[in-house]
Amino acid sequence: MKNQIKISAVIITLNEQKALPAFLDSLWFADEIIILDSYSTDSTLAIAKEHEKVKVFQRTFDDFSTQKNVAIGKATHDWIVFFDPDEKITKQLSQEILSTLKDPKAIAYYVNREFHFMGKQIKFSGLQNDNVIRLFNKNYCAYNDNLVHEVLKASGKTATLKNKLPHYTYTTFDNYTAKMHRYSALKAKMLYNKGIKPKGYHFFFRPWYRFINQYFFKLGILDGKRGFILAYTSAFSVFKRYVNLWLLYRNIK
Amino acid sequence: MHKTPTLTVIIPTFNEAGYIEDALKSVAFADEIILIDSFSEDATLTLATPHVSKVLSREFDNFSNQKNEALKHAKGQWVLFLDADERVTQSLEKEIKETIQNPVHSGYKINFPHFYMNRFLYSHSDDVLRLVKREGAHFKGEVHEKLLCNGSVGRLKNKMLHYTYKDLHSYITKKESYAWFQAKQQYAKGKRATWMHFWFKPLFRFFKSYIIKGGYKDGVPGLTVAGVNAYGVFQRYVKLHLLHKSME
Repeated sequence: MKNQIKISAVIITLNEQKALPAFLDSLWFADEIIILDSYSTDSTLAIAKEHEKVKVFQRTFDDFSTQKNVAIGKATHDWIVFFDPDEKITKQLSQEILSTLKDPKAIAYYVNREFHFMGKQIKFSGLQNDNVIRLFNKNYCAYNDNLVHEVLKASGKTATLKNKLPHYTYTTFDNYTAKMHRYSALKAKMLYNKGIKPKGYHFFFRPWYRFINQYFFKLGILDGKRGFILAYTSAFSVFKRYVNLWLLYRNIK
Repeated sequence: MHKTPTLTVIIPTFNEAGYIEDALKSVAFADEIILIDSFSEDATLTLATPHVSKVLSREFDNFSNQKNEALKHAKGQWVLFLDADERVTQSLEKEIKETIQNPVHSGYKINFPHFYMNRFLYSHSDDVLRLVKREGAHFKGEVHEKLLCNGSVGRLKNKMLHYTYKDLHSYITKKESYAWFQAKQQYAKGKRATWMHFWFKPLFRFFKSYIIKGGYKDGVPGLTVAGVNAYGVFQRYVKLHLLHKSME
């Protein structure tokens, strides 16, 4: 049976040549694919243009919320699927999306993500899963203006899809930490904009608390060395956030 | 009156376009300047060439080999080793000239206070052997290369300016790429990353940098140096662990 509701798949990219071919294939169920690229220097654009359903746009990246909202604005259809290239859209999930859209009961749908790190699924650490909206009607939804960890705000009824979404953030360790560094810099900027000043306890307590919370309270210890590495990396990222904040107040790079 | 002994300055470089010109200007008094470059991809060579006597290009393997190669080409009786992010001040220049005129020792250490986040750190100042008689001088050691000379070693009074700090991000990423280098060396020696390494090595490094070396006296910059040093140690063992798993 033919699907009545048309779907726009929306992606934002920066140097995604590695993940992109398989990712575009996994979007077979979409009627069009919108790519908003922030001037990739690898072959992302070349790969994207080969694909018949793809429409490519380019825009300088400022923050995730703005970038994603602009990308959504380029879509022709009301219903949007918005995945990251490091998420694996399984066959079952795409079929569930299609059958859901035959008669949508909500205006936005959450998917439960599974976190994979250094080649293995993380079962604890508080990072094992999270719920994110990946299918929604754009007339009722927009990203809020958080600079990082942007959240899609849905004004209306939401529901959750049954199938899981494996999330492979990890390509290389340097890549992973680079991402953490970008986040900590953006978070520092958010705190700065709110007028929060760095205090002693930010430096001495917060990073330790993050480590202890993730490794012991949230049982990261059961994730083995991966759990330790994740907890340490997060704690360092918290530390770096406050150093960045301190630097912002002193106008030092 | 006898003739002033000649001085050669040796500078190893890799992508130092932002720094190299000022470094070269600060040693313009030398009789010979040799640049040993490991195939920079930026404008380093274009900017440096007008100011130097000789440019050597050599694939980087380690600092010892790199600098020993440059030593072979040096003609001065004395040699000063300089990095692109270091500057010889006028008073240091004067002291160097006077010292090689009437040398007591065959090598001299120079003190490096660290300039970091817009201030000099009390806790980070090292004495490093940098000025030596060419005869018999050579480097040993792969990671932490050490300059050796024939005879006794003295110390100059004036300090070397050292701009290690560009911004926090490049400071951290420098540690991260250095961690690969160290991990590969440990891997080659057959070492494994144990829980002991993960738990205690970073903690110990933090303690050493913040308490023993007095980093606590330097406020947030001192704390940052200690935190980032510990993180660099942590990175080294993560990367050693990854090498054993054939992952990146």
